[in-house]
Amino acid sequence: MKKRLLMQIGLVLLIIIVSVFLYRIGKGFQIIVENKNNALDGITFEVQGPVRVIFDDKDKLELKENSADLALLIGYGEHKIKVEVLDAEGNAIKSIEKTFKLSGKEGDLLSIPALLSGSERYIFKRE
Amino acid sequence: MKKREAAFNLKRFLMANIVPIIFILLSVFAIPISQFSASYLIQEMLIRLARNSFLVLSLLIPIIAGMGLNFGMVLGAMAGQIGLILISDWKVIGLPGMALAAIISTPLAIALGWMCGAILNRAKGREMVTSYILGFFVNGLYQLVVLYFFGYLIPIRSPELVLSRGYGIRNAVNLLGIRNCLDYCIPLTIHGIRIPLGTFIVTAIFSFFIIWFRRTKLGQDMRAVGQDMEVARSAGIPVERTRLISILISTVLAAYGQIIFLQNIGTLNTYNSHEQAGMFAIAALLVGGASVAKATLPNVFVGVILFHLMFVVSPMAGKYLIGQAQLGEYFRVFVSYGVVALALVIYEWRRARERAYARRMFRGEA
Amino acid sequence: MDRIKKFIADIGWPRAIIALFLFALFVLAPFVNVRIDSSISDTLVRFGMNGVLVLAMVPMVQSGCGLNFGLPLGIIAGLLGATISLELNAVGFLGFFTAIAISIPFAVVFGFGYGQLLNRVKGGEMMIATYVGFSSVAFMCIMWLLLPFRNPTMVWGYAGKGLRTTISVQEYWGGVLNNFLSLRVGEFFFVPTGTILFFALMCLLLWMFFRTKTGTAMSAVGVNPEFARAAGIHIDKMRTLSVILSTLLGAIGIIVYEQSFGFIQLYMGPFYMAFPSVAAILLGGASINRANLTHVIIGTLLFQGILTMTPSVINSMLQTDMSEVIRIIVSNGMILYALTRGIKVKSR
Repeated sequence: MKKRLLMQIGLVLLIIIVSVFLYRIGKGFQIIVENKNNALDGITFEVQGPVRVIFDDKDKLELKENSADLALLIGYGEHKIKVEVLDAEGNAIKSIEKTFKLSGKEGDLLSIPALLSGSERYIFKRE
Repeated sequence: MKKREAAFNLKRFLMANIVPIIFILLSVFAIPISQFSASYLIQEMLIRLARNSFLVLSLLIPIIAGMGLNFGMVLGAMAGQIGLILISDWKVIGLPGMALAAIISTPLAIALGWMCGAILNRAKGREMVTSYILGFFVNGLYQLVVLYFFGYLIPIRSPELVLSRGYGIRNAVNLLGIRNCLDYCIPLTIHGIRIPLGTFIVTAIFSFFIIWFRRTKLGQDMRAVGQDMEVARSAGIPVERTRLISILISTVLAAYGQIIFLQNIGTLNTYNSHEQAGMFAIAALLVGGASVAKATLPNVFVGVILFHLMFVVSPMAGKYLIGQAQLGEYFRVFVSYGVVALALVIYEWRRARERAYARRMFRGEA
Repeated sequence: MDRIKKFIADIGWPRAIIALFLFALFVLAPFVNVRIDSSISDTLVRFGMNGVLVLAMVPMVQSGCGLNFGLPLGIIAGLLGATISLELNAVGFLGFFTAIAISIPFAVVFGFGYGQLLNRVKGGEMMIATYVGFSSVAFMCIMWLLLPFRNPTMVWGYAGKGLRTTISVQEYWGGVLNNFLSLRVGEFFFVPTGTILFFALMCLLLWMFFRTKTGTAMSAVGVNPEFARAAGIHIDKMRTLSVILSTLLGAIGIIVYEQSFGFIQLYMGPFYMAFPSVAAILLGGASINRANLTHVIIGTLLFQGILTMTPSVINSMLQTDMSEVIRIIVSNGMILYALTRGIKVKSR
């Protein structure tokens, strides 16, 4: 009798753990990807041209100068971002890869110019 | 005596399978008229097979246990939908989202299935009508919760799910996040026809589950209860509990089935999607040759194909035949209900005849 | 205290609760700006409108055929009568009775076939009744599109073929009963005397029928078929007769409904129409195999009262429209309660 009860409690705990796991790997976040001039602490990061942004080797985004777009990232963990600056024909002249974490809220802002300049802060979390 | 039985064979076969035969004839007649291409029909049928089979599978176990057609499967569908509303609110995407929806809806489906089973146990001999009305009743409760409590007593984080008045879920919930996630999770295309392999695999797994289940003690108990409640009771089988468990399993499977159904469609019609779920699943099962007392796996798949074939083909056939597509639509509705009526009549007729026969035997005649 | 408990147990808890609920609504009404006189008036109108349809349940319950979920069949007969009477341009009282007269042969034929079917499926009548009802409504949908009606107020404009979904009867015989000898006090209080008189007439006729030899035979079949057979009563004939009666009352009932409502609803309109009537008679105290006139009157009054009062009062209170949901829960809850109550005296 006791063994059965223990097994049932164990099963319920297992399900809860699995649920939390599913939630963390499945939750989607929308972030704003911006290719505009960004002023921070007195330094202005300038746009370096049209870019192609690839998230997690999957989703591609193309941004012209001074434009922004939305991207959907899935999962709570780390995400990979690869930014390619394009020339007039669409070939990549410069490429940077980084990994980052999200704040866990909707609507973080990712600034391409800040990232390209090598700044540590290129994700601006929503308050 | 033996000679009569042999001659009966063809007649018996026709009688037992009259419904699928009628449908095959109808389809043979209507398909050329509708002018649909073969590849279109094959693709449609594959999609519908993947989409609906699971829901129809959920009907098998109550039939084995003698509970008849479980119209209460809409309760499971509603539980599944609540799970989907929640994961849409939390924005959990893809297969994890679907799995989470299934996990969330399970306790709800168990609770509803338990209630349904308990109520049906108090209405022995009238299970089908009772489960039918119960479906409507719980639909009322579902609407109460989803239209009034969600967003008010139950917090909803995503404003796009909520009606403009501030509480209550919108009529249509976008399920793009999980759309087709199970279907095409393993991509496979043959001759330009996309095959929903993921769903087929899950459905196959559950088909094997049902086959295995029939052989377990619980499955055998249900069979016994289905054949004769009193005999089963005197054999020591807990009749009420067994019946309740059969409905419980059916409700939970219906919840999963509805989630699978909706992930294929991609949109949840909050107040309508579940209503037709029971209707169409039952009609499909009956079209496949099942009866109220007996249903097998082939009935499920043959039924889904035949029923949905007619479903897809009749509006166009109606349009080319008589000039009004509307007619084809109504014809489709008529056939859906008519086939259930026919199956019910055949079943009850046989049952009444068997009872009369047993009565005559008891009296020492015949 | 015990006597009260026994009283409530006899009525049944759900009924007691609903009666109290209705009473509470009436008490609340003036406090939420709902006029009592217009509420009573609305309830009376709806009572008259639905009464005969609920009455249609009685014959079949008494003969043991269960609740007539196949009422749509009778309704269709009535719809045919109504539409044909409109096609013939019949107006006023004459029009009303023409509609009834035309629907009678249809109702008898439908009822006969339906009764024969039910006789072969004893034990499963209710489920089959439901689906026969549904199938016939769906079938008639096809028919409404194809039947050769010509009256321009009834058919679709440009095509000239196929009936409209909703047809107004205002210019024909809408309101003839409602307005007959009606009482109007002020702007808000209106008693549809004619309709109520007609309903009373139908009740009287049915009551007289059940006192005849055939009527008592019919009730006997419902109580105990074996004894009835031993007494020389032809069970199947009685059952078929009860089905015909029920279908007939359904046909008359829908015509009464239409003259009050002002519209004929075709296509999928009649689809779910059996359920409110079933709920109403159960609410009035009937069971699956016993129903009498008191049940009809009390049940219809309570049910229509709830349907009228709940929207107005709760909407004013909560600023929201919960009426539909409450109606679903109450009516289906009632039916569920009756289905799970168990059968009284019945030998298999």
